Amino acid sequence: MPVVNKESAARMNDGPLLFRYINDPEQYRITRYLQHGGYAGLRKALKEMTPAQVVEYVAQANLRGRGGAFFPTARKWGLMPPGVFPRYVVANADESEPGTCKDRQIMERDPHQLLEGLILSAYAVGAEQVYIYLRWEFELAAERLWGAIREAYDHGFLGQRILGSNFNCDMAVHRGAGAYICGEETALLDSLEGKRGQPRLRPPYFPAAKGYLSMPTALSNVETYCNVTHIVREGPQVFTQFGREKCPGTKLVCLSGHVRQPGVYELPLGVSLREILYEWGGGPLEGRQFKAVIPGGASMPILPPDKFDYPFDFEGMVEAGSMIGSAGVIVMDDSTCMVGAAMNLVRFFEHESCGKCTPCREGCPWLSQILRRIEHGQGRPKDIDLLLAICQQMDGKCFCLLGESALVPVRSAIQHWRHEFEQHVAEGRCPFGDGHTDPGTRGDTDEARVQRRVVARRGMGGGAVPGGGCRQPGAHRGGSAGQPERGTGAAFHAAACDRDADRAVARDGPLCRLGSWFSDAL
Amino acid sequence: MSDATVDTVTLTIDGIEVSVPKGTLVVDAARKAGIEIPVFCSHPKLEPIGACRMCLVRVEKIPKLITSCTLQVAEGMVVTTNSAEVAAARAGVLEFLLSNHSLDCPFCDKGGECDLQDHTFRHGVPEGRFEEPKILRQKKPMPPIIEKVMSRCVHCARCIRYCDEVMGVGALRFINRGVCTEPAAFMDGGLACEQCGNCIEVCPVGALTAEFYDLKARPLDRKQTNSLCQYCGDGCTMTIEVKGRHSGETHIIRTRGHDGQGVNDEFLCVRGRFGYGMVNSPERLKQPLVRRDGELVPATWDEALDLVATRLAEIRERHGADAIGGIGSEKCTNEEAYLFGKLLRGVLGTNNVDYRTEAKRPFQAASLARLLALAPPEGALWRLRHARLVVLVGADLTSENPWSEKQIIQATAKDHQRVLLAYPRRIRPVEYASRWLRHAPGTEPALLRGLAGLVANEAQAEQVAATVGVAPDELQAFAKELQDAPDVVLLLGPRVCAGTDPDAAMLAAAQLAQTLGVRRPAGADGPKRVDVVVLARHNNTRGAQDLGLLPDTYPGYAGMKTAGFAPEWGEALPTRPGKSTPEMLAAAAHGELKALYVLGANPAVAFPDGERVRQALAGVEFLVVQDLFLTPTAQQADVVLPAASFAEKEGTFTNGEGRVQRVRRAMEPVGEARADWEILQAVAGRLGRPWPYLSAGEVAREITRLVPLYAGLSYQALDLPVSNFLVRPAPLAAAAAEPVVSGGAGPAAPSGEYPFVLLTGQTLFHSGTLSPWAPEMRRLAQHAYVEIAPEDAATLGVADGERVRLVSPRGALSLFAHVQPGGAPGILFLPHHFAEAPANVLLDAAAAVDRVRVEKE
Repeated sequence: MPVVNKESAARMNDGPLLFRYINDPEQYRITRYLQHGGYAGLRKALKEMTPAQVVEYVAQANLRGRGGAFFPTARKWGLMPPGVFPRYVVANADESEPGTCKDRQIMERDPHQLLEGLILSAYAVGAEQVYIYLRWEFELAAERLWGAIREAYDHGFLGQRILGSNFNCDMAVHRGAGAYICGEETALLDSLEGKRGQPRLRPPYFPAAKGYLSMPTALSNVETYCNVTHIVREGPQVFTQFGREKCPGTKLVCLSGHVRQPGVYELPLGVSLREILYEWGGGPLEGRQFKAVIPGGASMPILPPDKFDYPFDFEGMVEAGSMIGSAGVIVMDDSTCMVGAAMNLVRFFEHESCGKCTPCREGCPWLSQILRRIEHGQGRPKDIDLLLAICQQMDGKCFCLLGESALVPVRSAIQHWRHEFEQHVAEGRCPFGDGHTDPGTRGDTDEARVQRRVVARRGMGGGAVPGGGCRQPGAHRGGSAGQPERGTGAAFHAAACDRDADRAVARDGPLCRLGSWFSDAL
Repeated sequence: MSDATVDTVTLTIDGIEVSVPKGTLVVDAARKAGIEIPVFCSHPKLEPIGACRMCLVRVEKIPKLITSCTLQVAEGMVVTTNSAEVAAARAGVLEFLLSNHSLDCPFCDKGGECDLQDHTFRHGVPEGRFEEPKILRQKKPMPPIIEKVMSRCVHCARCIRYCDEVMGVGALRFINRGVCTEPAAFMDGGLACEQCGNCIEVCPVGALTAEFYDLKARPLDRKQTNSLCQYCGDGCTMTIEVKGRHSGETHIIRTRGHDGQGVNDEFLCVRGRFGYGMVNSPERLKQPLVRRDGELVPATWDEALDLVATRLAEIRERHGADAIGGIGSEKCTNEEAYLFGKLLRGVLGTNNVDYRTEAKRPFQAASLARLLALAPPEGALWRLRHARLVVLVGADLTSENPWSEKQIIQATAKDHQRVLLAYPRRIRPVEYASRWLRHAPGTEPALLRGLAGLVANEAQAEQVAATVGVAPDELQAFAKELQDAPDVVLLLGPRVCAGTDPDAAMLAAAQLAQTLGVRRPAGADGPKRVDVVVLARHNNTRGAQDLGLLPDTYPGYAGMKTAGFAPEWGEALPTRPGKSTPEMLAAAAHGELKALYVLGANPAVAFPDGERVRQALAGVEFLVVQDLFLTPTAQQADVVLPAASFAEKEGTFTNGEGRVQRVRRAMEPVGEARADWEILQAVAGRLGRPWPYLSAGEVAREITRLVPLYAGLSYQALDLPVSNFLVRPAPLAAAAAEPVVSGGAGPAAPSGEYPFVLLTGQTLFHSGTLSPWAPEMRRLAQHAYVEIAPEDAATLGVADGERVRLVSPRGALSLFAHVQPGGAPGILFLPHHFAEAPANVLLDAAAAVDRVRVEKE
């Protein structure tokens, strides 16, 4: 495994809207935010605009949700049933998609921008309570948000009769408990209600109709709300001057992996993937070539280099055969083993599957077990088709998108790099060398809570040993049965580290190790 | 039922057109069309969640396959369940489910009746492709009863949802995630719940099992009989499973709810599900016992029966018929209750017959009949689920009538039913009741009368509140809500009739119902609907009442009108009301009552003032006891006749709502035990009155003929999924026409020597008569205890679990103290069923409220 990125520096550009002041170290304080024109949009809205006009602005700007689905925000608000109160505004700040680290920058460096957007959205939809559902691991963001909310209350931007109007609004930060699934909006709402975070049954299709406490709830990504701030402050045209007609605005692009200049960049939607990789990312590392890119975080299909010229926006990435998702652009060069990459990605989903529906709960570990075998030279020729068959068995049958996402990297890896899978099987080893994809204990952190027993039996007849216990020493709390020598302490250490998903991902191989280094560096 | 012509939707499933009510789920519509869609998580009693993905179907115009258990029907919908695509999806889900399934089917309780086996057989593929190491997990106990085998779990969450939605307990949640997800109690520890075991019942696989049953039998070994539960008055249907289809062994190994049958929707409470062990108890009486030289020694049936007949005839000859009395049972069948009355009245010629062994003062049969006439015609249990307001007076529903409570819990959670509670102690209904009047013990009559007065605007809230010991504004709000509700169910528990003035309480309740009934709810045209439900504590309390085990009425609340019974029962039937249990015992103590025939009752531990009861029983010249066990009463008997349990005989029980249901013989009686009706018939025969019954059914036919209340009853009609034979006495003259009975004293003044009020009653795990003989129930509640409020415990310096001594003017008991958080200061609660601490030794039959003092031991 080559040490990468040593010569490179992660950075952020001074973007046109959201990132205009992102490199100002004092921007998180309300005084500096006010100096930079902060809360002018809120003043304008409360003095001069009706809630309907705010909605109209957002509609004119054609703001589309930045969480990944790109659903028009104004249309989402329009789905809230009229006359039903109380209603809520919730910001999805559970940013946990691997390769994505944009909301974190905003919340740590420019939190008032988010607050203003939230207050404006609350005004627009008629809500008086706002929640920010924050990912547990974001310590600094939590502190900055708490501070910002306190400042906003002190300055009268939150509370009763804001700026002398009849509009009241309260805001609170709710920290999650460390589950990826809580980024799914209905699981987020369950978690916010104090329940176990698991996706809810649809219909109702949108939380807008029935969300938090079964009341109408506007729920969007942090970046979306920040855009509302700028659309209201400067008018819809400030937004529509960027991007293509169907998909206007800028996008925070999280560039990680094998590039010279990883970072978060605010770029107009519609620039090509190639521009992102070469102009902003600085091109491949010394002596390397790009091999693959995931344009939108771990759940999106992997693209080979021949797709780099498609425009980077919702429609463009669909045309290219992938999705823009959260715009977490993960770059892999020719030192990357695609079997290992697929394995790491699937193990992430295996680890994060909530366990509610059968295909995701059982399919993810199965995929990951096969991929691990192939990566470690124990693959069989029929395994590749078996992987595709399992993907088919999961596709369209899971309860939510988590399970549907898990099969995506496997499918696209086999689609574009099937020869690598075949090479692994034929050579009985990983052609990229051993050791770079350390299986570690990551997949076993949950298993550490159960007792694992290997039943080396073929097919469905396996495991008919009734009532028996785990008889393997060391397998009680350690890793898999294959590594009984792993001590309890190590497993505990692994489990503890696992709280920080970045670090956990870091252990998993080249792909995510970059992401980890990157976010630490920021 | 709503109008069937409106809101019907027609859709096509696999080419079959089917019309169903709007809102029906596709999976249910398919079932109606005769198409089976396999499911795991979907359950008719639970809200859909769509987790298992087993029921995926293709619906036109929907891009993906969709779960039919979550999709509501729509007009013109076209559903396909039999395509290759759907079959592949099902096989795929099954392959996933089996990938980490332990496949220990030969050692699984569910083997042979497992949904996963059945679905795999029908919809799976014979060969799986999963060849990786399985993640298998050990059996894990969830003490005290339930065991969990996660390697068998399909994660359908039925257990969790049942516990939430029906039980309202929420003891289970999923913990961990991904493939390690498992349902668990708090911190993955023991289950602090009602131990009802319904999670086992709804589990489609063998993931949950009961320690008592685990690995005891295969489905093939079991003989199943649909019968009834023998505990409370709710009358739940259950299936008794007896091991011994092949070996001839007779042993109940399990009882469980019977899906699709009975009033209880498959529900069973902890007593119903785990209280069957008394049937197989080694302490069961297996042959008749006769007292010789002061000792009870085994005898033949002929010896014992001859002795009974001779002695009874002799005493009647010498002292007259009224020197004989009979105490019947609330647990025997209707047929047996009827025959016991017929034996006492028709053969022996006395009206000294009663079933009540706990009441300090007996109520009049007319008071009861008046209230029963106000029962809801659809059945109380149905009504409780659908009423808008339930008023709960004097009932600890959780312990006494668990299924009635679960109806209310579902209604409050799903349909915004409101509950008003009047009870002196903190009990579970406090959790879901909208208002709780904590009135002083023993003031129930005054409370009911006061409420009637407040509703009619004739009483002063302050005055009533002072009498019953509550805050006036609370009482006023309580009455206001009663007035405003569009419909009301008044639920009367045993505490209403337990005081020293039950007739006053019952009359007040009738008056309250009537006063409410004439009120017009806001915005409605007609008068508002008011129903009264008298809760029955035992399985056949209602049958004993209906069939005349009361000294002042013949069967069917006929009063002393003997006309209907005269030729059939005997020529000269007694027409003067007889003695009630307290009167019989008093007469026995005075030597006036010479012979006592006790059928399945146990006054020695049930009737207040235990010491005097024992003396009275000792004073009787000839005591016959017919029972399952050698109870303290039986120990004093001259002849003990072994009776068959509920699982060993045929007959009918009438539950609290008046529904007559069948109990069936699931196994042979143990030893030489005989059904009570057979014993009664043998005694009557030896007294010169041979009865002609060849079966319990023939007794039932006679009841149908002679008791108008039960006219039209036929055993066949009771075999429907739910018996629809509901009995309800004809309404009497309006209650208001009668003078308001004064009585029902205010809160008794605390006395220095005995500062605590003592309440006794049953708990969830024990109803007091049979459950203590079940080893499973004994394990759940082992030691006698007294509940004491934290404040009182602190004053006395008593810690939880310490031994204390209760002293009343009548007697003393030594037992453990249980400090009950939230308990009312000054009130103690003593479960009355523990043999080592018979509560009745402390009670005073003459006192309205029992008082004790607590001494630290």
